[in-house]
Amino acid sequence: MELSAPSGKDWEMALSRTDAEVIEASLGEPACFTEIFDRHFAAVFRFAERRVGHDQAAEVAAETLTRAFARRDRYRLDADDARPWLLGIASNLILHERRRFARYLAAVERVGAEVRLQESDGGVAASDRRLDAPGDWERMRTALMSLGDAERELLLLIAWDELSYDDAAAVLGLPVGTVRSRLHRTKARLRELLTASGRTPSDRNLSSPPKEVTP
Amino acid sequence: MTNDELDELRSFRPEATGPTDVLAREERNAFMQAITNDTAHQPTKRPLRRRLPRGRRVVLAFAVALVAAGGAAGAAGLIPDDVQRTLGLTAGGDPAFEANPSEATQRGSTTAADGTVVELWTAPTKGGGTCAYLRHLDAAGKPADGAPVTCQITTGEGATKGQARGSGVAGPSTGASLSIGGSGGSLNTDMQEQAAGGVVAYGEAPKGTARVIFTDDAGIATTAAPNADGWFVLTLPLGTMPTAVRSIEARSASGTTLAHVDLPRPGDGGFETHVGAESSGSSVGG
Repeated sequence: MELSAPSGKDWEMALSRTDAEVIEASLGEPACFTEIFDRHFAAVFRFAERRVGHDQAAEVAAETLTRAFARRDRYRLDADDARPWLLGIASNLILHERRRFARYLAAVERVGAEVRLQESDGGVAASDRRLDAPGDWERMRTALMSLGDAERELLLLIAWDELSYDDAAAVLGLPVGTVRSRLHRTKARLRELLTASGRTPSDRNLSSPPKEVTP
Repeated sequence: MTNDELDELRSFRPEATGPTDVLAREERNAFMQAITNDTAHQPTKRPLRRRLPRGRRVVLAFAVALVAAGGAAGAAGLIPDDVQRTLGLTAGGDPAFEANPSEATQRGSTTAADGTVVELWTAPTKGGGTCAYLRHLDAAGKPADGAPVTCQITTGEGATKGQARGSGVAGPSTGASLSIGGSGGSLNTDMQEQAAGGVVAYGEAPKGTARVIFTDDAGIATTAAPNADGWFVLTLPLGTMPTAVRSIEARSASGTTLAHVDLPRPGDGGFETHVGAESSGSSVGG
């Protein structure tokens, strides 16, 4: 049994509709929801990829879209863009399996160590700070995992997913004012944790971000 | 307020390459099929919700039956000769496991690791069971001899029994097959190593299954969308052996787990199965 994709004029109509309009249409014509899949699957995949790695991201993204389809009758039709809603579902899915997330972060650390070894072996004149990149990441990872789930997720939404405060608020289901105040407190808490672990902001140069690896 | 902490966190942002075109297309197809399956019996605007009955039984059995494919021509019609001929080789043993080749049905196909097309054919047995045959076609569409036939019958209370007739098959070796049964239907799967490498898995999923997910040691999930009758066939990633599969799960389109089994690592000696909201443990035998 197959569903056919829209073509010709149907495409033009589909492209001009907001996500909310597409979702509303899908209540009567479920196949319309594939439009939401086409628009957002890659973004949801990348969101998951940063948290659980490339190999696991497909499952999370597919599950997210499947759950979104099942819950489409609960979508707030005043929100034109469905991406924050979808990322919220993905975020909950990932938080539901914290071990997978923690394992991935630990794998990122190992890659940092490999980078250091390769540079040393190759005789590259890396700076001391660069050579300390794995240590920096270890401190950051420990600090992140010391935060509450909601606080950590807020930081990642802003820093890794580059969401606006409004979009982060939509993902977390919070008022934007709450997001601003919570972010302020969370950054302060993160600073405390990093300082307690021996890092001060002034003695750190930015190192290259670690590459992704499958845990 | 300083952004030092956010900047530092940004510097550790993992790379995200996004899905490949092939992966996105596969997931889209599976998603479309899931929507189709979920809405086929759901004419209203509400999303499908399923509740599984309590007290479902969990049964597991390993059973593999092999019958060598022969060489003579078979009957005509929509069922290829070689399919009828191969399924007909189940005759002569326990009648309960004897297939009726004239009722053979193609359930799906997949492309194996070596590029050959593998079709899944099934036929009912005289004992009320099912025989399955993976038909291999080369690049020219010519069927290859030597593929095995696997037959299973249900022996009351949902228990599944397989025929185990060694036959000196010169074709693919086999992996374990299993059945996770329940009043709402069983998840029956069989994994077969292919002569050219790789593993083809196939089976029948409980009613309402939109996705069957095989997850291996490395956490890599391979998904199949069953057809309207619940049958599925898929190729596991190259390098995956049947013993590397750690879990098999049947899910509805709304995300409900309809059947799930955690498979032990070789030598661990136990596994857990879950059907719907309930679970029970058991031990691997044979």
